[in-house]
Amino acid sequence: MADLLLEQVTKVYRKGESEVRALDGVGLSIDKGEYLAIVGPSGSGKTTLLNILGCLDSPTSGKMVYDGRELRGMGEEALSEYRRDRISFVFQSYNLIPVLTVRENVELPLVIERKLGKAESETRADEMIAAVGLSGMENRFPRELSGGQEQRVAIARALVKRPLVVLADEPTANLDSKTAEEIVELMKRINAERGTTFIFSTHDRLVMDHARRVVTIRDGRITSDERK
Amino acid sequence: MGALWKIALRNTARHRRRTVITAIVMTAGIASFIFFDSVMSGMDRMTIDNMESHTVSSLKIRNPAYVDDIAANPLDKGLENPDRALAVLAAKGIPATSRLRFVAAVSNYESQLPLIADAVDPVADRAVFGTADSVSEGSWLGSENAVVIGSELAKEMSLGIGDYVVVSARTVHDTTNAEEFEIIGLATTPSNEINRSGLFMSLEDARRLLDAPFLVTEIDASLPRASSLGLAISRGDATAEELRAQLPGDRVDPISYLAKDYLGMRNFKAKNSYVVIFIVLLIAAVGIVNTILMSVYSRIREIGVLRAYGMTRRDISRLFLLEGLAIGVIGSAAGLAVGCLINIPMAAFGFDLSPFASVMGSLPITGVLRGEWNPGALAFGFLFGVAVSLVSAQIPARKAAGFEPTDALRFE
Repeated sequence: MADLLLEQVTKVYRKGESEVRALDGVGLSIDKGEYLAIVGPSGSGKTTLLNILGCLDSPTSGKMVYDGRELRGMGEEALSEYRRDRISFVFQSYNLIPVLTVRENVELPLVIERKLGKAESETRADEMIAAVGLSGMENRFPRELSGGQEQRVAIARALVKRPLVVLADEPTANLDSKTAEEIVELMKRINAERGTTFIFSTHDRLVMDHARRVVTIRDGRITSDERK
Repeated sequence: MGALWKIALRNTARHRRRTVITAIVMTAGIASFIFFDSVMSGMDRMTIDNMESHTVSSLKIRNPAYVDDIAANPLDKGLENPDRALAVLAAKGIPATSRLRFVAAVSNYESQLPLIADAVDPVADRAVFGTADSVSEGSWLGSENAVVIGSELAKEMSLGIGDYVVVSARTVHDTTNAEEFEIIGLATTPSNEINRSGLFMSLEDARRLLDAPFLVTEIDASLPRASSLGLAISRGDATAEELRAQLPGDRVDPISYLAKDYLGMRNFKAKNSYVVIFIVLLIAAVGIVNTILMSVYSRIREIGVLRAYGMTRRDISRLFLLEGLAIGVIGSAAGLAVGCLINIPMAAFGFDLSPFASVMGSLPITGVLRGEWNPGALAFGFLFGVAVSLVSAQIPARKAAGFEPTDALRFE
């Protein structure tokens, strides 16, 4: 059974009198451990699809099943909780909290989750920092890191709570090609080692080349779904 | 909550300039409130102290019928057993003295002025009133047929030490009597009422003049000076209550009654200092709203990330409320510290008001005005500052909590 299932999902935004159909009858089934890229031109609906997959937004209609549970009709607080327990994000601009150290940033999802004690959270955070190759930088602040290092911290932050799915929105867009390659390799390694599902929204050829499945979206519809 | 505090405090420190400017406004508001309240309380204390030592004393025992007819200063309604009252006060270790007030007219042989004269026990009076020590020229009472008059009265009637005046009054038999008295002293007290129309003579002289050998209209007592006006009032009330039980038939009035007109006015005046803090903190509140709103707008994406990772709207709101609270605590604590620092010299050394005595009207405010420490005002200033910050932070906190995570993450 798929980990994540979308059936006939539409998302309509209303701006005054006019309607924008950002997603139009999207169907998608994603299994555990997939390494998938969603591609398409700007305005095609990639980000909307990613937001819906990330439970940051709800579909206007259609069915959405996550980890065996139908999510349609869930309230905002319940969605927050669902997101907190199962989903993580990596952003194009890293979006680290500038006033927190590397360790505190990585620990943040665990603190929000409130499931682990302080010592255990710190140990888990340090393990993830080591896993992304930043050992020794635990007490640095984001302003003291390079872009590539910041994105590594963001990846460690996304993985620390051992989510079912990591959603990454243009994760290499702000990085030079060498650093982008390193980051993609890192995510691929984690995907292989831990079986974490990665879903990317991207324009980057490099990410598409490494993805084992590429879903193309255009005008809110899936136009191709290729497995390699 | 720990993570929220950490983020809130570090952001407060990170945007140091904004925090400091807002905190300075709060500091100014709270410090000026503390200082203003201290000066006001000091002025009240000084007024009550001067009233106690020159005009009303800190506790009076009178015949209830005399008080009911006080405007007439009736000589037939004196204390029935003044010795009993003096004995009860002596047993409690409270200094007390007998006085006899009567309506009189004083003449310098050219003109005549009506006034209320005070007949006193020249020795015992010193333990209760400061009039004897306020004699600026000549000496206090001690000899027969002598009077001490207010210095302004002497000036108005062109009188000086060694001059004679005629004092006339209605006797207890409703006849008029007059006697000649030598002016042996001029009193300059903090009370303009005494300076302008005070006349003091010994009880013996007055009783002879009024043909009332044993008459005493009031016993005045001096209670120990309390550390604050509030304490002085509550202790005075408690002592009066005890004395009432021991002196049935007599009327015992503490300072809360004797100075009731002034104290009533003081309560009105005290509200002014609260208006000051309210206005200044209102300005600070606008600053806090602005500071935290700027913080919200500069961290919209951060809000998006926190929401994406599962923080609820309530958590986000709490985060910015904590920032407001942090600014409030910093500003209020600094206000408290600065207010106390300014007040230390004011309370210790004070400010000499003597040069302004002529513009103080009938209020007995002269001498060195010292600030008063008022723990209630310190606590109020601090807590009000913190409360204003929390209330002000509600607006930006709601704004922050209102962002949709998708919009917040997209924000450029």
